[in-house]
Amino acid sequence: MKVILGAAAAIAVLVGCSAAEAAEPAVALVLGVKGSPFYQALACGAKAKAKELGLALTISAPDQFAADSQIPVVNAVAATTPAVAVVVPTDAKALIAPMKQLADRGTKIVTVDQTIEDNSFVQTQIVTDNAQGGRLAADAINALLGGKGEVLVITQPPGSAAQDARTTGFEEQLKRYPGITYLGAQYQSDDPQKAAEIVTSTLSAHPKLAGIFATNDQGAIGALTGLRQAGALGKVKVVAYDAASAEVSALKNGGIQALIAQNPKQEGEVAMESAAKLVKGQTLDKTTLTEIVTIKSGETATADKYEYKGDCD
Amino acid sequence: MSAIFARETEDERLTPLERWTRVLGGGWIFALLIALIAIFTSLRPEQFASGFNLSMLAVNAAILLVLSIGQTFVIIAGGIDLSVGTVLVFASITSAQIMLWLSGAAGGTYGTTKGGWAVVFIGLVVALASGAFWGAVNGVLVAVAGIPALIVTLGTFGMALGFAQIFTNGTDIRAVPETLVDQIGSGTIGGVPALVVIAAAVAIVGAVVLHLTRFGVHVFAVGSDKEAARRAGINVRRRLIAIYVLSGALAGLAAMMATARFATTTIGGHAMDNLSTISAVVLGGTSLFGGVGSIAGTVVGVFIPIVLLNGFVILGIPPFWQTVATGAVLILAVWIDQLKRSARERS
Amino acid sequence: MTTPLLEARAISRRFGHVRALDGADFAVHAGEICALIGDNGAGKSTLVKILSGADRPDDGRILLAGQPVTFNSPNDAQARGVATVYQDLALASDLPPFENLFLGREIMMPGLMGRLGFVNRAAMRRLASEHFERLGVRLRSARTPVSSLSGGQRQSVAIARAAMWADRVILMDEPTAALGVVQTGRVLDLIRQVRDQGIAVVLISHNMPQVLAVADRIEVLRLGRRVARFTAREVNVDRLVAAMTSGLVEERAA
Repeated sequence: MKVILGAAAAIAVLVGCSAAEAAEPAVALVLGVKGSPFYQALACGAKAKAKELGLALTISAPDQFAADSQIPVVNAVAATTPAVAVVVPTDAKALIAPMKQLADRGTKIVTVDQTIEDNSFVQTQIVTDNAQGGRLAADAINALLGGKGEVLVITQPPGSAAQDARTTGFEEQLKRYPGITYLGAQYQSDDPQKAAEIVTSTLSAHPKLAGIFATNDQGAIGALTGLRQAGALGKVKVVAYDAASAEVSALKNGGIQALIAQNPKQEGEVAMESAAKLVKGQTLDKTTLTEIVTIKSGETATADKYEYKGDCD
Repeated sequence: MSAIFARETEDERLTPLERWTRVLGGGWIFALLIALIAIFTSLRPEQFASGFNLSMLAVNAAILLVLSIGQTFVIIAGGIDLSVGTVLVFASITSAQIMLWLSGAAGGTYGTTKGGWAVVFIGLVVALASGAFWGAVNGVLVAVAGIPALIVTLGTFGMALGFAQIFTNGTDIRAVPETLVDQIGSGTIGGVPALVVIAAAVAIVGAVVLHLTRFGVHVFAVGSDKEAARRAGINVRRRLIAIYVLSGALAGLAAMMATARFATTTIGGHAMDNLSTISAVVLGGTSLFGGVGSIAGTVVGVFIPIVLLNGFVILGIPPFWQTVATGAVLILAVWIDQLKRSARERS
Repeated sequence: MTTPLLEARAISRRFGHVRALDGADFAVHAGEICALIGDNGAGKSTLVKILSGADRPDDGRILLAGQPVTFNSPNDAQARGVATVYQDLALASDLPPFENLFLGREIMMPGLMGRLGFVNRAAMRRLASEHFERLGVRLRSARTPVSSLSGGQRQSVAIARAAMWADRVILMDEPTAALGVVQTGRVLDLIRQVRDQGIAVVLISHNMPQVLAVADRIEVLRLGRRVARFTAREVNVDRLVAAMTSGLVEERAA
């Protein structure tokens, strides 16, 4: 009994800390997964902007980047009927029904970073042009390899629209560079350990591997580990998507040669700006693009600027 | 014939702590669930206690509950099944693939197919068979080859997922029969979501089998003392294989429920389902050592993390605090189970 | 003397080079407690395993009520009325006493329910309590798991279970080894009750005073053979020890 009372007290305190003013419009942000630098940075941008615009923001995230983990969270958000819900859908199909439920209950929906297939009820999709990012990566690899060499892509299994677009954009752009031999794409399911193993195995099979494109931070970190283990760090050129702190350090000390960085902080801010406009009853463009940049070795100032910083609490 | 045994003269007075754990040991976990619901309701009545939210809680619990019932049987029998999540994934892709072939949907990779109830039924059979297959592998390796269940099911955990990825090249099958998604995934039976009805039916049948049949008695006996069961003439091997096959088949059923709910297979998900089922079962009062447990406890054990997550999100509590709280509740539950055991043994 | 209910004649058993039993004999009659004693390595465990069906002799015969028999397994022996209570008791400690009594032989519900597999716990409970009553076993509660019973009560449940299903011979291996004084007394009383029901009881024990207190006859094993037979009344601890250790062969028609 004592334990239950103690727990109740603890919950009451936490609730007190996060209770919002009744007057401010409620905005719910559902991230893709807990503990990701990209989403932490997005959340930071959102928090600051929400404060500025007078929005009551609550943030939640599932344990894994997967539909079965995220749907209960979306359901719970639906129960609170916020004015606007900003969601990073972890599955383009499975999240349709739960998000539609949200919309049916009167909440305005915005998606950010990822998209869902049926976006008829989505007010705006905040995305980066992932295909363009893939193309930029192909250009970067070509430049680094001097037009010749074997190249591997490390990505997520198909199903994540953003990752798929990066891979497709990369592969298409690569066709313009006949000197580059494409070894194909390997899947690492957001597990750096797996990515490391993929790299070491590929090196054994293709000792002349010249370049790697990792479509997200986890893949990049794993790829670096694999290269380090094989003693090939710096010899195999790496182009990586995203600018998590680990990737920025690697860029500075030569493990990674180029980063294709998004701006999650900007995405978070734009999300809040869109939410504010929706609350006021305005309509938005179906798609809102945020920026991508290529950061090369040596461009330290740019790297620092775009680094995904998640510590803003 | 004289009465040989006098009343036990040992002092039977229990310390207050022992008395409380005796009382709480009975239905304490249920009291905890009621307390949580009461707390969340009082803090956010219209949001937490709305029909919508409570119905969503039940739907979210449904799939995990079906898996956990299989796990309950396994753990009571003294085993453990770490393969449940990936057997679910495997069963979902085999059944989805068969249903797709039968529906002949041309290139409809991002829509639903026109497969009717017959197709869905065949899909169900395939899913159950796929699950039962892995269950049989588990059962035979544990019961006949004598390999520890932890190792065996860890192995099948990897193999089932690996095969699922090989068969599909890692790509989810996203075209599933509309009948399945509409009628089962979002449908209701008598006003109750179909998924909840299915889970409830499985729970009731499971409880009846476990607590009222000879099979159930033997499950408890095998878990309590395998050697004693064997000497009493129980075919321990057959029982063990049976419970692992049951667990696998239920994973197959859960796979169909998941496909219905998500309208796609989810190869990347379900990685943590095994631990979720184990913690639900243990929270519910089933002992990891075997021989003790109940289905009712598992039902409560499944709901507690789900209610916690739901309540925390509604209250806007930061995500990392949720993880801490859920972990603390699990430790508390196992600790009280230990107290129960030692209180019992001491007397 | 009446025909022994269970008899072993010239049993030999070797494990590799070791001759565990070398032409050993044994006999026990209905309605008597016969203690089988011997020093470590005398062959008691092996003989008990053979008599209970857990092992087969290389040579020699076993006779049940005068007829030669072969026990293929403990279950086989039990089917013919010979049960063994092992030192580890073989009870499922999480189950209550009545379920343990009927373990493997559950009473089913009548009719369709029974065929579907439903057990009749009410009937089992009733029959169990009648059986305990008959043997004078009083348990604190029939519903709590066996693990909550004292050591002596657990031993009693194990013995009662053997007496329930085997109506001819019960072998007991060190039944009071782990018990305190008071509980030991109760278990010995139970053993006498079992004997009074007409069952032949074979008691393996290292405890000489106890053996003298409860057994009717004593047979001594040494180096794989029977070296002495006594009636309890006519012998004392010293002579028993002498027989066990130095092998003075004293055959007495008992």
